[in-house]
Amino acid sequence: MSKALDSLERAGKHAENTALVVLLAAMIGVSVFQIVNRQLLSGAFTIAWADEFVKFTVLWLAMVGSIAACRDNKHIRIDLITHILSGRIVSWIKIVVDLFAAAVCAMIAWQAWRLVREEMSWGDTVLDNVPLWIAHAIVPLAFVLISYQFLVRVLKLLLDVLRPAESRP
Amino acid sequence: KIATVTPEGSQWMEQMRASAREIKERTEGRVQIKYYGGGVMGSDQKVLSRIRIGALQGGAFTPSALASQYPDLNLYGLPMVFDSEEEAAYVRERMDATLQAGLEDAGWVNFGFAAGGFAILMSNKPVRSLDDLKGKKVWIPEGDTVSRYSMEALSLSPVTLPLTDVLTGLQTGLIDIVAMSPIGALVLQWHTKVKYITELPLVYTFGFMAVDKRAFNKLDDADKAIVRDVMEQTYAKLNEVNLVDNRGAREALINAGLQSVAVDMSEYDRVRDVLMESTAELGEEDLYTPDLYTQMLAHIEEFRSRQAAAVEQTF
Amino acid sequence: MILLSLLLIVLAILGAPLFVIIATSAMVGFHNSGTELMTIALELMSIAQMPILTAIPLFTFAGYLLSESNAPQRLVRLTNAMFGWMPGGLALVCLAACAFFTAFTGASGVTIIALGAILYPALKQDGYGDRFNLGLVTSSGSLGLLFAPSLPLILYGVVAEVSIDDLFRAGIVPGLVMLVMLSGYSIWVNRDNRRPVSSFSMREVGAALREAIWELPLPIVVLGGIYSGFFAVSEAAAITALYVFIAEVLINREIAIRDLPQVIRESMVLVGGILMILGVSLASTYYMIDTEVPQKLLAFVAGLVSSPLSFLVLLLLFLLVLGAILDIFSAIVLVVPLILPIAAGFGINEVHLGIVFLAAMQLGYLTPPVGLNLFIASYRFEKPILHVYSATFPFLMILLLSVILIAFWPGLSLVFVSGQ
Ligand code: NA
Ligand code: NA
Repeated sequence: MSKALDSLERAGKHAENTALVVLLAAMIGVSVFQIVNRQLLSGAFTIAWADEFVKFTVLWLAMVGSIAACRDNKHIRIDLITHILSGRIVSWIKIVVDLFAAAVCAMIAWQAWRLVREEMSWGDTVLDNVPLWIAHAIVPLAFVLISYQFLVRVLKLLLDVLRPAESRP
Repeated sequence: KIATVTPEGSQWMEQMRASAREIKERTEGRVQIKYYGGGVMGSDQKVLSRIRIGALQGGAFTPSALASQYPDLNLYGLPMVFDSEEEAAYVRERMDATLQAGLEDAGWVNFGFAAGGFAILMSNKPVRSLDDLKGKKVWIPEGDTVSRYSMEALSLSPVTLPLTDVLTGLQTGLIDIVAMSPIGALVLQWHTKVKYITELPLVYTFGFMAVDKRAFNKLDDADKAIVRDVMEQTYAKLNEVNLVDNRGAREALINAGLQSVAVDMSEYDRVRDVLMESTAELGEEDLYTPDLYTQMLAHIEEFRSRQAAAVEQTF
Repeated sequence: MILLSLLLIVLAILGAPLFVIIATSAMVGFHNSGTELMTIALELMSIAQMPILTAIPLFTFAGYLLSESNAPQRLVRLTNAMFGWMPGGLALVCLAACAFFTAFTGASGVTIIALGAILYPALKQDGYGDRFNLGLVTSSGSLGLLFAPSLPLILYGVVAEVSIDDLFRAGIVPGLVMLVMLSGYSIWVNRDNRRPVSSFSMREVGAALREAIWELPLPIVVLGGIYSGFFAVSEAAAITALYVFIAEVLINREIAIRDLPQVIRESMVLVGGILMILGVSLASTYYMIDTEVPQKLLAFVAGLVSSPLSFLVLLLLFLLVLGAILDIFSAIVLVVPLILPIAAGFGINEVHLGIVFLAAMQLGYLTPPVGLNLFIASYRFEKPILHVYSATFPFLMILLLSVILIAFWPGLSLVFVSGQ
């Protein structure tokens, strides 16, 4: 069980890194090309969709970055409880809190999915004929994955808490 | 709930709120309109999405914002189609109803268009001819397809920048030339960063309110009639007020020390021919309905021959 | 409703991620006011419609590259060589650089991630206390908001129909007042952190300059590029990212290519965290606009005003609350048109009002619970948020003092404004 989770973890991390590198490189490349094209090539190769592309890249970077932040447990929390309390009670509190986070993120994912489905029916396009909903589809996807990560954390905590006392390190 | 970019406290906003009060009174409180001014509801795209998910019921738009919904809104704003306010008024008298009907078919109730004046060229070096534009950095708004095609037709290289960067851009020389209506230029204070205006009627601008038809249809017929009545009057009034304001704004630009540059008439015709040739092809890009385009040109022709006849008579 | 708010506060204290708390409160608000819940997704997606945000990933990446390289050491050596004889020398360099940078980026917190990334480790190496460093870098993030060509100044000019050039001039002295007061505090706190004047050596300055040869052109390239019209303020971030990549990875080779994915991951984790908070805050801002919270608050405060003096006092209180709950751009657009006529009634100059407004709103970046810069600092330097709150507190108090000074001494704002 935990072996399967570990290999999923590695694959997920690798996928995030690849996506982040590609997105950031594309963003820098397109932005710099716009400047070079305007100033040195006197506008010979203007890319009409460049500005829009850069702005959508910010959204994608934010969403993928947020998934990664969740995996690395880097989202900001008020870290008070672990200083005051210790032992099993902390684990139980973490379980409750992360379950809550998973539920809220699932709710956002659901609302985002509803919106994306609406957008399919509107037929708007961006970036030289890419459907708008495809550019936005990262949002429900990201929240599904974020919600999933909170659940995995809950599962790990539960396994740990419910383990018999003598097998604890 | 209606969104607009018009600032709170402006005269336009006062008018809109006054009309909202009148509607509330005449419908005995059944119809209440709340305005969200100053662009707090976000970009045009965001406002449009808010309306479509039902969080807002309408918005005040410029044509390009709804052109994806109803492309014929591009027609009046094609570059250099109109020579004068009078010509635009003549054509609009004959075509506004058609465009309004088209908007209704696309799902939007509206109450008439309010003129915003012609966008004119503003620059730091005098622009008298097409050659004065060559090699210069001309700003166009992000996502403005018609402007982009026009630039290509004139073999100019446009610079797209967010609206917020234009003032600094003019100051540093990142852009040399902008096109904007006198009112808009005064509000955004771009006039403080340029020295010359070239007053050829470049692009006809206008604004209008569009209300979601699904929301509007929830009103009963009597209330619909009252809303239409009040709002149509308001927009007719705004249309008049704007023409006067724009003339005032033009005066203010001159008083602020900007120099008006005259364009050679033959040069004007040359540029217009190039632009008209390129815009004639935009129908194939689905940027308007070709039939309506032909109709508009016929009205313009009609107006010009009447004018010519009138001039002959006076001699 | 109150019960639910309490429950959310408890969950926040128990350690629920803050973006989850903000999102929940927004969604509960939507539910109660009958707003379509899809709005939360719409706000998150509108991250792709704000050109101002494109600078964030680019500056963050550049900041991480700089901090992973040996640039902080080189900066310390250089400032020590030049200003080592002065108490708090590096702190002053830090304040000035941040103010200058913020004037261009408009204080969306990018100062902390771009400059803070290099200054924070540098301050530490130079022997400054950790709490001081954290507070200094966090509060410097919005310093410079009053200097041209900062975007909030331009926006105020457009909304209030006040000359933007006048505002640019009016911001100079009040901005300097803030800078000088923070500098004074920094010198006083670090009065013992200095070397003897006799240790100053031109040779050491030269060596330090040579060592930093690849970083030194960066500000010149960026500022020169903006001022000469080579690229826009919004494009400067891309140039910076590319330049830093070339300097640190390709030329100095202090970061191996194979480590790059990890550096990018770390920097984009920060971007994801910040933009997620920003996105859900957009949703709660929408809720407040929709239910007219700022207008109701203002109407309440305006009812208490009786004299120009009480107007200024109440205005400051109102703006501090407003800054804590609303971002600066929404606040300008929503509130400025409403307070202008009231201020005019009490004979307050509208240019002065603008400076007071922005100076007070600047504090909003640092006020708990939702000061954006506090979050950014917490993410960037991996410090608990409560620790950031308390480290920033003394700086917040000094800034508050300067805002009071600016508000009650109109001459500071109006000295360079023509026709006053
Ligand atoms: Na901001
Ligand atoms: Na705040």
